[in-house]
Amino acid sequence: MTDRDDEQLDGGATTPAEALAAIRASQEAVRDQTRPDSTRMFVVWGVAYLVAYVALYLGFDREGQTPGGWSLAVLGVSVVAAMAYTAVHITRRTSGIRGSSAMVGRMFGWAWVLGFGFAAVIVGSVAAAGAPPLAVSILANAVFLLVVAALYMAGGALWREWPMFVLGAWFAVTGAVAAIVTPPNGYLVQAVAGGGGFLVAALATALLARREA
Amino acid sequence: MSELELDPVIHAQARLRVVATLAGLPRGDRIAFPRLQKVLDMTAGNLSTHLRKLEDAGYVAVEKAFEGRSPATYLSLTPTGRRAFETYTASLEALLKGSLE
Repeated sequence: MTDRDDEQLDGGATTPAEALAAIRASQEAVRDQTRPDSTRMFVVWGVAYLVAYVALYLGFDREGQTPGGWSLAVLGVSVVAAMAYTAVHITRRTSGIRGSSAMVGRMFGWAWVLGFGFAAVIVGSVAAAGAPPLAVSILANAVFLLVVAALYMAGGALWREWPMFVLGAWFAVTGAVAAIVTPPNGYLVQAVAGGGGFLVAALATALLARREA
Repeated sequence: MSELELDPVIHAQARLRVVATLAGLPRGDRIAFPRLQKVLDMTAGNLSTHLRKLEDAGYVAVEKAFEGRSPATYLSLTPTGRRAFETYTASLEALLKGSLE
């Protein structure tokens, strides 16, 4: 085999510094192309939270003590759109990659599905047992945010990503505040602190990535 | 720069990039051939040649699998390959330090 690519490095002008630079460039390229982009995920979810919670706030039916139909529709559309974007992005980035990280990702994905399923059952059962509408509104928001906060902290620990962990911890605090404040003002807390939290985290991951490069 | 022996299997432009890329994946992960080819921007023939050499040296594990009916090849660094890459990188760093002194 005498193809050009097979030339020994020290035959040409390649120095150890250049070889090390080539190693770094290759490792950055593979990371950039095969790992989900946290910054992009945080922006997408930040916008979804902002839109959804502003809708819940504006559409709150004060007599019925529950979010109005159109605001729940906006919430549904925002969450489904963000979920679809996340799924497509992660599938694209991780296609052709198998092994331990794929298994970890699948387990984490199922943790979300089962966590949200459980949360929905809790809210449904409490409502069916005759809890007042305001109590159901508080519980629904709190129990879903509990799942989000816990899984963000767990994900941060799993992938050693500080912005993700801090975001989870922040959601635990803002979720608690929103429960104390109660809807509809609690929704405004979520829109600003929750949605804003995602956007701050996006900025943090973008800056961290730039510093590493 | 020859006081230190540099691993000749890795010390070639294309194979260095292949090994560095595989070492950049999390431990325990494998990558499909077309995906690796895209990340490296190499021709299939060229990449196969280098992968064969790395496989012969025991540095790369080649796993043939079936996805539905179409065959797929997954590549990963073996523990020997990872050690060789770490030694190679350490040697480069030692050379760099030596040349600066």
